[in-house]
Amino acid sequence: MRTSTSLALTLGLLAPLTAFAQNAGTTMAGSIQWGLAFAFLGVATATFLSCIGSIIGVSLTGQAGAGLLTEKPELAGKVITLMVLPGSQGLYGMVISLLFIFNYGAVINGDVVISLSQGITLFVVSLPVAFTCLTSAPYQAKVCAAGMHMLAKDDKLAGRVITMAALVETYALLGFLISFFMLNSFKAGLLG
Amino acid sequence: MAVLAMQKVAILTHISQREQLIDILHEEGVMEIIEGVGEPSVEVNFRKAELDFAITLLKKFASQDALHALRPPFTVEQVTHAAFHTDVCGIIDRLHVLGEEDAQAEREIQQQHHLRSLLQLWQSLSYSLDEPRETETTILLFGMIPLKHILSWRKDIDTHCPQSDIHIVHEYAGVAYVYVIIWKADHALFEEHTKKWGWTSVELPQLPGNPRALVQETILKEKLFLRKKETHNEERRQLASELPNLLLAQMYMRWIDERHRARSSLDEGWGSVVLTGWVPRSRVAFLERTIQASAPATAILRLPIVKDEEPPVLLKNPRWITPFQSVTNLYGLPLSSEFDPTAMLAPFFALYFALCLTDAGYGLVLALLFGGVLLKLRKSPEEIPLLWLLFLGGIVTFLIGILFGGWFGLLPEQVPSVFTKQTIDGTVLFRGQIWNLGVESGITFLQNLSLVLGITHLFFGIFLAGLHKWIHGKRAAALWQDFTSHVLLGTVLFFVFAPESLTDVAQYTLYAAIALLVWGKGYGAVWYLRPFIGLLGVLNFAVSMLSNVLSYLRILALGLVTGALALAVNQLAIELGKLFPLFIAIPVIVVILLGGHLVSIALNTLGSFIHSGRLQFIEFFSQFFEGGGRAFSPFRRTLH
Repeated sequence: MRTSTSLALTLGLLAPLTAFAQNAGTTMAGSIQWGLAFAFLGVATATFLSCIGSIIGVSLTGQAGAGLLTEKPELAGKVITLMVLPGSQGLYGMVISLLFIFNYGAVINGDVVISLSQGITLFVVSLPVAFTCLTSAPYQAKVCAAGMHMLAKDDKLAGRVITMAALVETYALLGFLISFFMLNSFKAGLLG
Repeated sequence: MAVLAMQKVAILTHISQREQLIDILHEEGVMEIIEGVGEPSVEVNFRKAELDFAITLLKKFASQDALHALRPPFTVEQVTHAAFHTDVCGIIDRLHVLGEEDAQAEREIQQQHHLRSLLQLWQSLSYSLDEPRETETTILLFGMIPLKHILSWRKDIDTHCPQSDIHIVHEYAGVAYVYVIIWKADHALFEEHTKKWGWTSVELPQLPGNPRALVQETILKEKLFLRKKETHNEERRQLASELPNLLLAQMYMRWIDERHRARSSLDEGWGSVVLTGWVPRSRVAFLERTIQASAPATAILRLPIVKDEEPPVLLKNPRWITPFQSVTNLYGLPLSSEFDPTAMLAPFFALYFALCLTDAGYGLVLALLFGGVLLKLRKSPEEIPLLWLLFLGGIVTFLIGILFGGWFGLLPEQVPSVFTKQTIDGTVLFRGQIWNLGVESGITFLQNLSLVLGITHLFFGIFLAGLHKWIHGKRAAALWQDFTSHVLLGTVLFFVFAPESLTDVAQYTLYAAIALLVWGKGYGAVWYLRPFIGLLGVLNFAVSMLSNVLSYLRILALGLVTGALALAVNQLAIELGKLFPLFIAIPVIVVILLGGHLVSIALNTLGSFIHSGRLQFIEFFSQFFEGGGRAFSPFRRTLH
């Protein structure tokens, strides 16, 4: 489990480097645009890392949920709701990536050329959401798994379990918030 | 549209009318009995367990016709007739006898199998096994020895026990099966010299007949016992025709058990009995009338709720909102002192579900699919709320999807022009489409819509929190802690939309609203600490509002994912179709489109349902709702 998790994390960290492939940041003339490449690296990082966090989180809660459902299949609805909670982080990362793709069309098309420092800035924009989501999802999953033990004893506590799990996610939301505002303020500065 | 108010009651009646009272309560099903400390009936529990055993066993042997012979709901006459006219004890006793005989037959089969495997390799032995194996001077031994050592062993035995006689009966898998006749006096010597060659003694049973005949006998006996088991199974299959009656008898046993529990909850004394419990306040008068009509020596006392006592919860909503109770139930029932959030979440849930799907085609499929199922089942929203919810969700998705132009991921250019229109700027859109999620403006709209819906939803939640406090007499707390947020929201809107001539007024109004919010959030603290506590409260409010509102951007993400998946399915089908000649390509494309879109609908429906629910549970409920109520569980004679 630990080995596969480490492998997944390593691959996740390395995979965005595909953004540095020649085509990703190459102008029509053929020269490499390092700024654009870094921006793409950020876009990929936001989704990759946050989705890896969600993958680990959902699988952890899934294992705990499977145990509970064996004993109490009537709790399927509540268990699935808890299972999906650590899946939100993947969505947060994806939203940041989507917002870049759709709001920075001029940069992607090459109408607006960005410098290396601007590209690195865009890469940094992805980091708060990427890392808070990567780390919060597995920890949220642990709370959900513990909450499933509560549900096994008393299914009336579902609301409290969901609230407890949501508290962990608050910090992923804060990371998302900062990335969101950084992306928007940078857009205002760059594209007007 | 609420949590029904519960009345705690004590029903006092003369002891002679005890059974009548239990009958009425069981039949009407309006009272949850507060259970006493009475002993459970051992007899009833034993009978129930016996019946469960018979039903579980016979279900394995029942034909499809027997399994589907009865469909609930049943009538009381059906249940009582089955309970009194079915030989339940006879069936159970017969099943026990068959079980014991089966166990005996199984033991015999095992024994025969064991004997056969023991004698299988000794079939060449022509002696009867019941012949004496010892004389005054000699002894007969059976055993096995590895074939590779047999010559050395024989030589060794011939040397040390020359008066022995060795016979090889059979050779198999590198082992020789032998019998040896030796002098009794040489037995110890034989043992000493034979063990080193790997000799293993074999104890053959002393049975009449040679091994070959005995093996044949075991085969015949085993067949006999297997046939006996098959006969038992046939008898069970015949008994399984009584399964519907047994199921009804089981229901009758459940009634007896419930009545026994009710009886054990009665407090007796001075020729009267008292039963306490919970009744929906609106049904107390009806219960009073019903009881008075059948058992006149009865009184219903309305009791006050004691401290720390939590009444059970029963939700009652209009028919069209009832399906959304399944969402509330996922989180947990409200406490008896809380709002029922179902009506409040219903429009938001349906809207978020639709926006997360944003595909009219998918909505149409959902509506048709679940509409068809509902038409076939003919069940009310109270019975199958989830299916009704998905049906309603499908309809709303269809309507919202038209506005966003989502039709199975198709582009307007890919459909006949009769289904499309052209805008002033020349863009081709689907008929009825207003926003295009394929361009930046459409995505920006959905993003802003998500955020505006989030703000609306959250402030509505805060309003409900204030309303709850207001209703419960905490008016100052409601005004300061909750409604000041709405004042701020109003001034922010005024500030944003105010004409230029009123900018200064709007600005000062905004400052005043912020000051009011700071003072309000500090409610409950001593006056000199109130600004500081309020400031911390405002900070917390601002951060949680921002993060909660952004959480609604998942609507944008899920909405775009649906479109992207549908588009990918279409592209995959077309590209793969190009690889084949036309007569193969058409079925290939159809299969990929059908399979792909079905998978996409299933995945996206699940995602939309869960995430719409999550926006209710975490972002919305956290403003005003605690939950954790106990469901009202009436003493009721169920007929299903």
